[in-house]
Amino acid sequence: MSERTGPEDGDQEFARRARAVFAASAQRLDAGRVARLAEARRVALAEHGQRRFRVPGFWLPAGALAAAAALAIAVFMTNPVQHATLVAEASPVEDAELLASNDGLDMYAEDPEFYEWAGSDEAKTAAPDLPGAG
Amino acid sequence: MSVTLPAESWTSLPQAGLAAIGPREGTLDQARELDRFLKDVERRALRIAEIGVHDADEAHDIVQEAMIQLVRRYSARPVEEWKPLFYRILKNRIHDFQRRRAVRSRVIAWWTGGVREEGDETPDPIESAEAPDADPGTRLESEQAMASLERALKRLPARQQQAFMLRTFEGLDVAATAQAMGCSEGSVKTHYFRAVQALRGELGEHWP
Repeated sequence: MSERTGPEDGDQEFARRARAVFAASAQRLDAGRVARLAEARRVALAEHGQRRFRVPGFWLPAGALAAAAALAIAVFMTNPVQHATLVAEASPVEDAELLASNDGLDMYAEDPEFYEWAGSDEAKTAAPDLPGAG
Repeated sequence: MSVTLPAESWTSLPQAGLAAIGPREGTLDQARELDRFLKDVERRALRIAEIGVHDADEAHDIVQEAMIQLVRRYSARPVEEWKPLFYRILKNRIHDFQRRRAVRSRVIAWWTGGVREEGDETPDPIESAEAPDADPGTRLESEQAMASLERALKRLPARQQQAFMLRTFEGLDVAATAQAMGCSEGSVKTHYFRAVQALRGELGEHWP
């Protein structure tokens, strides 16, 4: 056992005893307080997980615009042929307009023999450039 | 300012693990380091806060807030800076609470004409704490010693109290204590010396 030689040794010994008494009191915390501390730690660490994925607010509009532009370009570039075909083909709206028109029906009534011939194999052989001739 | 912490303040942390895993090498590793750090300091931090505010619930809220602020603001900082930063936040929260309570007390004193109502005192956390130690005699002695120390600490000026608790209870060195307190190392030495002299005079040579 070391002998005390001065006031500094006394201070150090006092600090050592104070630390031991304090450490014992910290270890004596009841189960309720220990559980609350564990929950507090869990909440704090959850903050750490959220912080990883947090995007600064001023980047959000720019990011959304960039994403929308990239999506539009990707859709257009991956299927340009289909896009052109969609434009060239008659749309169902046009078919509906034709059926709704009285002129269209009158046309078939005026010369039914001609239209019957036009749809026959003979017409396709005679005039291959006609629409529907293959 | 560089901060060097005494080895004994990290005794609960695996030194080899700390050396091998840097806090920036991965978020998962950093989360584990944070968990270890908070687990290591949380009980002492709670007791320090309880001594500072004399209210168990407030002390818990203050510790939780300090944990969250450390994680939110300083988790990317080097591990060795976490402890002084954590206690800096804790000290500021305790100080804010003490200031609010002082204002509230003045308002209540003015409103009631200086008459203090019975039952105003918040319960002593030491007295209200359950203690599951094995030896009742030793436990009682330890509790009485801590109660005496706590009463003596409460009579100290705030800066002396902080310097003593950070140096003695938490094991921070002078530089880290200065960082936590936001003052010079010379001030820490002065506050600590005066605190020890006052406490030794108050508690006597035969304490505990």
